[in-house]
Amino acid sequence: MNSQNYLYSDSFSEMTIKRRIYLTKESTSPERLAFLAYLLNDSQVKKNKDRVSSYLGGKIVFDAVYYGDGYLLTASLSQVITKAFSYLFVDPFKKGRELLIKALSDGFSQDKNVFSGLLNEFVMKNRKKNSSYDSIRSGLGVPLFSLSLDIKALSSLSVFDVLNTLRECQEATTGDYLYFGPAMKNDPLLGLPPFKNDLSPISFHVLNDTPISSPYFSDETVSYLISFGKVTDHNDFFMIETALESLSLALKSICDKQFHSQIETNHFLLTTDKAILALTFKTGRIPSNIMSLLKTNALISVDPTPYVDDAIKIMNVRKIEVFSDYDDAFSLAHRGYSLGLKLSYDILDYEVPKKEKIQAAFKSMTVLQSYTAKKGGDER
Amino acid sequence: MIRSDLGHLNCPFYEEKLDNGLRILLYPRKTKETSAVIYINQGGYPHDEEINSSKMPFGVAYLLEKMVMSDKTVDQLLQASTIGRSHTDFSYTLFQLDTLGDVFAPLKIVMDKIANIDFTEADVDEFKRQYLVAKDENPFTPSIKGLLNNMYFISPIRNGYQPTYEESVLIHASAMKKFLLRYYIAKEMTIMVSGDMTPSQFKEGLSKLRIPGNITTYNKELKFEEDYSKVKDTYSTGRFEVRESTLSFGIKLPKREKLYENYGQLLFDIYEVVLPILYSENPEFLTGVRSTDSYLDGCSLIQGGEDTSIILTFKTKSSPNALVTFLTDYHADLTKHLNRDRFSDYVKFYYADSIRLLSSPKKALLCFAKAYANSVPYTAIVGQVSKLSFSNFKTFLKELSTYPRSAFFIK
Repeated sequence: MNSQNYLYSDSFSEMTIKRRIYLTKESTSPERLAFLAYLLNDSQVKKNKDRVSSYLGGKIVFDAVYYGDGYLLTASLSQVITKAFSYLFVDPFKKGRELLIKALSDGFSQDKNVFSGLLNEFVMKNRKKNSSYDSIRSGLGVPLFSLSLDIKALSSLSVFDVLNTLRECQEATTGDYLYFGPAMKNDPLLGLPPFKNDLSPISFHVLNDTPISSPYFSDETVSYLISFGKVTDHNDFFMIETALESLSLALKSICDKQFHSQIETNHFLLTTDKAILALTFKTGRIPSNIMSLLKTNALISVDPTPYVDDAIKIMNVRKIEVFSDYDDAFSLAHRGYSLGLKLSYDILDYEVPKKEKIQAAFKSMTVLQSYTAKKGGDER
Repeated sequence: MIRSDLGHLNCPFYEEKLDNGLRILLYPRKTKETSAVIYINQGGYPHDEEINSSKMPFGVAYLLEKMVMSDKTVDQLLQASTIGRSHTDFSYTLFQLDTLGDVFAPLKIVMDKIANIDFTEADVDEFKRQYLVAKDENPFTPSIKGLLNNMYFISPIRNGYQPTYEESVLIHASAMKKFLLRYYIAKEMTIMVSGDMTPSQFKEGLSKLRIPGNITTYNKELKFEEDYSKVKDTYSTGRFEVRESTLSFGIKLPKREKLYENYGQLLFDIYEVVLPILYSENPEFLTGVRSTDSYLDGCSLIQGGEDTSIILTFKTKSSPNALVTFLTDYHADLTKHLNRDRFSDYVKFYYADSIRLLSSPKKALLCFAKAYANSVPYTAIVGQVSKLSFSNFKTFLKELSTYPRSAFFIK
C-alpha cells in the first residue's frame, strides 16, 4: 500500500478523502480513541469560523476502528463535485484539505463541563447498544469495525487520558490517505503531509475468543470463522459473499423447518481467505435442541446448492444498493482496498458471479472455529 | 413535456399532466441506477370519513400500502432484479423501485397490483399478526403518539398514521379496496422516474403501463375544528418497558392556511433549514441538553392536512424536570440562538448537500416526492433556500417562540 491511494468511481457527484492514522494497541485504549473521535466530531459542530460546511458542502467526520494488531483513527473529508459554485479567491478543495489536517491539530475543548457532558452522552449512547451480533464483531476486533467499549473504563476517562491519545495521533508516523470519487483534473491529495510508514493490508488476529455475555442483549448469536481459497479481486470477493449467502439461506431454512426457530444471518470477509458467518436468534435465546446443528463439523455438511439462485438475487440487490448510496459504495471500496484486492478502474464495476463458480467455492470452505454472544453476566 | 431547470443547479427535470389527470415527471441522470416512484396524493391523514357508505377506519391507508407492496410483491420485484419499498406519510403514499435494469418492468408489476387488487382478508390478518404486534414494542411509537395526543384536541393527526394491532382490528380488506378506488387513481397519482433516458423513452415506457381510471365514488369528507391557539395538555407522562426514559417535546404551529397566508412559498424554504439551525447543528442547544444528562435522539417537522408540528425526542438519564426547564427557557426567544454566520454557512451547506442528493436517482426522487406534497418542485425549493434572507428567518423564529408547546415523558 502507498501513502496516497486513489479509488475512482464516476457514479456520484461527491468525493471523499480519508486520512487513516494507525496506533498500536499499547499506545492507547479503545475507550480513549473512540471518545477522542467523538470529541473531535463535536468540535467540528461547535467551530465558530472557517467551517468546512461552507466549502462545497464539506463534512469532516472522525471514527475509530480496529485494524490488524492495533487501531485506526480515521478523519474523512467529503465535498460535492459541481460546476454550480464559483469561488473567486478560494480553491474549496485545497481549503477542505487544509481543514482536514487542522481538525486534528486543533484538538478538542478541554473545558471540564463540556468534557463531562459529552462523556456522559457517549456513555449513554454506548450503554443502549444491545445487539449480540455487533458485540461479536467488535469483541473479535474485526478490522474496520467499531471498537468494543468497556462502559466502566469509558465512564472513568479523564481529559488527560484523551489528550495523551490525541498527542499519539498527532505524532503518529504510520498511516495513509484514500481518495474516493471521480477522476479530477488536479491531484485531490495534493499537499497533504505524508506519513513516514505506510499501512499494510489488514490482517486478522482473534483478540478474544471467549464467549461474550451481556444482560442487555436482546438476542443471541453464534458465529463461525470460515476459511476458503484466497480472493484477489472484487469479482472473487462477491463470489465468496454469494457462497456465504447461499449457506446462510440453507441454515435459515433448516432452523425454520426443522427447529421452528427464526434466525437472521450476517457474513463478512475478515481477510482474503477468512470470513465470519453469524446466526442471530431473534426470538431471544439459542434453543437447546439446535445445538447439534451448530457444531462446526455439522455446519459444513449443510448443502447450500439449492439456495444459490436466491443468493444471486440477493447479491443483485446489494449491487443496486451500492450504486444508489455513496456511503455504501465507499465502504465497499474501502474494504476491498484494505483487504489488498486488485481493483478495476471503476471500483463498482464488478460482476455478480455465475452459479458454477459459487459451487466450486463451497468446496474450498472449512469451518475453523465458533464464537457465541449470549444473554447474562455483567455489563461490559 | 415541459423542461424546468430551477435553482441554477444544472439539474433539469421534465413534467407533464396527461389527459386522464396523471402527472408524470422525468429527472434524467447519467447513472447506471434507475429509480421510479409511484406517488399517491393521499397519506395516512386526513382522509374521507366514508367512501361508498363504508366508514374508513384509522390506519386504512397504511395497511393498504403494505398490501400493495406485500412480501409477495417484493419477491416478484426481486425476480426482476429490483428493490421495492413503500412508505406512508401524513400527506402522501409512495412506492419506490430501484434497479440497474429496465425500470418499466417492475413499474408494471406494481401498477398491475394496484389495478387487480389481489389481496384477501386472510392476507390482511396475516400482516397484522406478523408486523403490527411486533411494532408495538417500539418505545418511540407510544412516545410520539403520546405527544401528539397532548398537543391536539380533535385533529386525527393525534393517531399518527400507523395503527397499533388493537386499532387495526377494525380495518378490513373491503374498506381498503374502497380506499384504493378512491385514491389510487390517475388524477391522484404521479409517476416519477430518474435515470439515463430521454423524455420520449420515458413516455414510451409509460404507455405500456395500466393506469387506473378515475372512478366516481361517494365520499363523506372528515370535518373537524382544531384549536391551534393552545395545546390540550402541556405535559403528561406514560409508562413503557424501556431501558432509558424518553421525552418528546413538540411545538404546535398555526393552521397551515394561516401560515401560508403570512409566508407563502417562503414557508417551505424555512422548513428545509429550521431543524438543523435551531437544534441538531446548534452548539448552544446541544450543550444545554447535555447539561441536563440527556441527549437529542431525533428531530422532525411533520405536516398533514392543516397541521404542522416540530417534534424533538430525547433520551434522558434522570428526571425530565431539568430538560423541560431548559427547553422552556430555550424556546422563550429563539432569535437569541440565531447567529448570522452560522445561518449563512448552513444555507451554503444545504445548497451543496442538495447537489449530493440530486446525484443519486433514488435520493433525488425521494426529495421530489417530499416537496410534491406542498406542490413545489424540489429544485425550486433548493434555489429559494439559497436566497433565504436572515431577517425573514428571524421573523419566523420570533413567531415560532410564541406557538404553544407540549411534552410527553415515558419512564
